[in-house]
Amino acid sequence: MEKIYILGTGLHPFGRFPDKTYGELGRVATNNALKDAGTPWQDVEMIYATSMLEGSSWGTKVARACGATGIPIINIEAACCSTSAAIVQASFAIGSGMHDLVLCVGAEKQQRGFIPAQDQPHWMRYMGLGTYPSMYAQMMQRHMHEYGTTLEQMAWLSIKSHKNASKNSFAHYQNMPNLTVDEVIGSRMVCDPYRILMIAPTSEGAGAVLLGSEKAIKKYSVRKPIEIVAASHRAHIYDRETILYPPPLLGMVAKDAYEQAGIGPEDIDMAMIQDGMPIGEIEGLEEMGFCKEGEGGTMAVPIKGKDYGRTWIQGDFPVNTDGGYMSRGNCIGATGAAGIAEAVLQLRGEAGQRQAPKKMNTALVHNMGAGIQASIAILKK
Amino acid sequence: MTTKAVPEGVPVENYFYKMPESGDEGPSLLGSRCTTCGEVYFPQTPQCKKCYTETTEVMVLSRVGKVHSSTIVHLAPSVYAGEVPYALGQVELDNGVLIPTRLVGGVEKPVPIGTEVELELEALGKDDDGNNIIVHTFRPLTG
Repeated sequence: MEKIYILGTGLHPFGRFPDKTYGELGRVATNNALKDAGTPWQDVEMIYATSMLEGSSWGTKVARACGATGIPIINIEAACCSTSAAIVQASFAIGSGMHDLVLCVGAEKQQRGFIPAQDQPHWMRYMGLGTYPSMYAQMMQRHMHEYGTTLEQMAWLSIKSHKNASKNSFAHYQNMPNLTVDEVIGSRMVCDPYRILMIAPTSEGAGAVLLGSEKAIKKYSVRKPIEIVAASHRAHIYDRETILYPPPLLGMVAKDAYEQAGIGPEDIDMAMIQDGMPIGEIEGLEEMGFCKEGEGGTMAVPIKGKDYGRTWIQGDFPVNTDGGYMSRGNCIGATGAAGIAEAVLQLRGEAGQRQAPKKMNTALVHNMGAGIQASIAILKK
Repeated sequence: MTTKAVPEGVPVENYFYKMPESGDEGPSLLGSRCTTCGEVYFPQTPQCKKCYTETTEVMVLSRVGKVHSSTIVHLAPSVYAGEVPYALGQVELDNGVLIPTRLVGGVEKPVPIGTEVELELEALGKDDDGNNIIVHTFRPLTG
């Protein structure tokens, strides 16, 4: 199998852009990725286009916005795992030797408020049972019940997230760098225990990841390519019929990824972890082996004697350095691309005012969402 | 103890509920039981998700259970027909089956995990012909 590299990444800012179409959002992100890689649009051999809500053939809208070149374009939908699922496919295309330059581009346009729970049956939605905040709120309640995780611990995640996003010009929310625990806990209740400041916004935007072979790196003299040493994705496993996450799923995806990469969690230097709501980052840390079970809530709380926690930018294990879903935004089809783009910036040492001071060679990018499905990519400098 | 009367109307799904046969009885949920491995489901399913066989039969589920998880919703989703805030959660019945459900009672704090609750049916919104739509809920038992 050929090795697979990220040659470049590009984003369109996350926020609200009522005047921009999917095609236009995708074009901007695509051009940023091509510029980052130093490759021309017309050399892209294949596109995987990801979006949850846009529907039929939206990838062709990006191609037509850029100037269509007659290449294969496949649309992939895997909720928040869309980008990662696309990368798994792209890795087959490149790994097999069939293609040298493959673009993964994702975008989303959304309403304010709830993400439509299209994977839930009508009766649940009618009865008010089928929303993601209520699902994640129940998972949080069980975690608090089993491990004593507190509201204050949850609030520190929001504080960290918004502080990081205030240094990210592409983030949906950049204006809350100094939130306090009281402000977060005192904000409007949405689904007990989740307050509005603990919930990711539905964002519009786009992200693109340009993947290539070693041959492509040489041909375009690509600077600082980042290798993808693992790309794994699984969609649901029956454990018992429940609306909560099936407990074995993320562990299975993590095992796939670590085996593929030939490394363990102790070898990972930073992570981008789904944090649509606090339980995502808390359980993600635990189930991917970055802390002990039940201790996920402690990781963002300031260490004794310091004003930062372990997962802060200046901590020993930076997580969601761009703000994560919670403040950079959840642009479903592009959320994975944003995670990858940030990990690439950090590994290259080019994240500017949000650069982690720690020396880093590996990054893990995790997504989890409707389906239920989960995906992990491991990046290596 | 008087059992609450089942309101007139059309069930949200016509295979969900067994209506009471006498005034002293309460309604029940109808689920499925796999005759090969014993796994129990709600709603009913033609295929067992655990052993993949199509050997399920209808099963009347227990009327009393315990809260497995719960929350209070303060911001309503679009399809929902009821009042806000409202309580919801999952109730665990006999055989380990989890029921996604509304919960009766206060909306100050979520119903604690482990609370014993009993099934009731209630009206929630109306259909295009003006009939009540009947849905399930669970009420915490006191004492």
